[in-house]
Amino acid sequence: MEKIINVGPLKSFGSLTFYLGSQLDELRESYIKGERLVPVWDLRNISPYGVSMSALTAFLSISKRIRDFIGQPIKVLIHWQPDFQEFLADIGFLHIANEFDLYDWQDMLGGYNTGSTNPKTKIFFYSNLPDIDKSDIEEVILWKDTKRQEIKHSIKFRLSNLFESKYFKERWSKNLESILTITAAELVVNSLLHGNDIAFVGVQRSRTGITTVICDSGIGFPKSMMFNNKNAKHFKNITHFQALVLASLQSKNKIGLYRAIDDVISTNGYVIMSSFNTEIRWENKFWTLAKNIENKFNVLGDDNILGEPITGFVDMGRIVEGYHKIFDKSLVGSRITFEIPFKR
Amino acid sequence: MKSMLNIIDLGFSTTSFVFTRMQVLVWVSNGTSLLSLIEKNAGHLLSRMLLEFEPDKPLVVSFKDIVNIDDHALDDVFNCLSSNNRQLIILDGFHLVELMHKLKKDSKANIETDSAFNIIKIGKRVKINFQDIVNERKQIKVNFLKNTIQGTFRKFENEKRLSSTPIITNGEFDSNRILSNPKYFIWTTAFLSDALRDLLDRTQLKKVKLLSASLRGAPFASMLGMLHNLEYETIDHFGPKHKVFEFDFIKKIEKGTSYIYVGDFCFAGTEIKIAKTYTEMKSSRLEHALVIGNLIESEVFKDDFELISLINLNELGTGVTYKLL
Repeated sequence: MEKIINVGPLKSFGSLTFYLGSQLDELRESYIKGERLVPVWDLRNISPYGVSMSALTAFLSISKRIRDFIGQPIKVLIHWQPDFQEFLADIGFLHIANEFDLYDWQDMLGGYNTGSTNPKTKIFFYSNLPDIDKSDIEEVILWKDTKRQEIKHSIKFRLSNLFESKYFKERWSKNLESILTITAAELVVNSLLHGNDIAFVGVQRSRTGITTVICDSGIGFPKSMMFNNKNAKHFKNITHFQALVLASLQSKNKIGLYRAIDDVISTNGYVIMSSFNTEIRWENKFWTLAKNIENKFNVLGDDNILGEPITGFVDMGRIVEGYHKIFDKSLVGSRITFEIPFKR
Repeated sequence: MKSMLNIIDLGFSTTSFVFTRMQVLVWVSNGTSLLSLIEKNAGHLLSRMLLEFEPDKPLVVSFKDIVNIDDHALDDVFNCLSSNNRQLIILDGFHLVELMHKLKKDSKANIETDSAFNIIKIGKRVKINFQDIVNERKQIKVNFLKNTIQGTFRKFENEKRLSSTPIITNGEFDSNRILSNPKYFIWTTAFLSDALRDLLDRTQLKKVKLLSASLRGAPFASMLGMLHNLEYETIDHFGPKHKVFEFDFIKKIEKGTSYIYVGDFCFAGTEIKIAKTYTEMKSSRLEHALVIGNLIESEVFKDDFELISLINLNELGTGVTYKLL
């Protein structure tokens, strides 16, 4: 029996969570009960314009997870919109979908050209999960160092077309480029190593800056902390919020994820971290507050250490200051978005 | 990490120190895509220089045009320096000192700064005269260019006319010998890059593009473009035999672009003058030319363009002779 899942307009990551959260819960329940419903993506509510790059990237990641679980391409209901399909082809979405045989398009895909649009978006992925003994620290460090270098250069290469614009060149710098590549490589390596899942990367150039999202459908931050820490018992009851804050702050020498966030904030940018039902938006004010927590382990057992979480609509004031938010529903995996604004 | 270069190709030894340049190590170890960022392999190469290249002398390294350092890039360097047996002196890297303290992690290596000269000293404490470093660096550059360009001179059996200019000569400087040797190409480009940086800082030109007009000038122009984040164009075939094969460049009108010519050697400046005419047809201008070596004094061209040359070919003692046809 089929279960039609309305994906919604894909206008934001919040919208994706809103539409998919409860429907994926129902799907999960059906498997627990042994009903084994077959999911069908209903993409007919997507308008060709205004689709969010973050939502598209996360949607690919979730699709991969579900396709692997059900063992067959997911049937898709779509309107035939060649312009939109051309856009999906040019940004790399269709290539990835074909690569992993994600969707059964039911003969509704085709009739579009490629290469004629000038998309400001690119989606790609990294799938080489580490084949190493994770208890061997030396081996882990060597793998991370090698992979980070490889990914930085790969990102620079993959984005070269996206960055070919005079507007971009006048507002970009070698320093911003290094922050983008270092941060993205750090996050991709974390997804592969700690999330134990393929990392999908979306990058978008806008009038104001470069936005990058890294998504996986892996085990999420709490489980990753338990599996990758010697003192796993400390993290036994850790919430997603606590895990996100601790992952951001726990670096003895303020490198790794700490530095990635710090560097992006220093450009007047922001970082949004999301795991299952929790989202944190690091803006300068909120990040400074977090950095000033004297003992970072105080975060354990205290979901209000940075103030009360938002549960509904986030107003503009909170967006510019940063916040943490709890959604009613959750989506598997981790997603980190960061924006580096152009020089003014 | 395998490289076509040996450690001794990556630096220069003077009486009191060994000198290298971080961007050269980045280029050799991590390729050309992120030339302003120090990554793990480049840091490892620097640590090898500390261990293997005349370890009794301080190692002076210029961080010119380096803007960032990755998290673990200097681990091997700080490991080498943790026993404080050798001194590492960093020039042009003062903007990275705070980051270096962070990346030092638990290493016991000393880090000292000297704000008077904007230098960072790591490891062994040795007194060194900053002016000596400046003077000896200048000499390193002169010696390298002299030796390298002397090696490119090929004497003819009989006198011949130059392809581009009505000048008869008894030999020619062949920049293919620089292009085909990684050490020569990398270091010559590094010195050209310094000259270009000085030019850009001095003139504050806007809308800059590099222009090369020969196949031998093109590799230098493309590398300088990558190093300075500048667009570059190569026209096949302004010179030395003037026969343009490709006209897209000329058809494209770009008002107000400041072209900088990049080439190997300048004799009578014919190629540059042709290039200047073409850029003016495009409503742009070409007022500066950067070359490895020149024959006629730069002053001669001052009404047409500013010629910046790393070395005057007359000073090389190759026995080359030139006369008008």
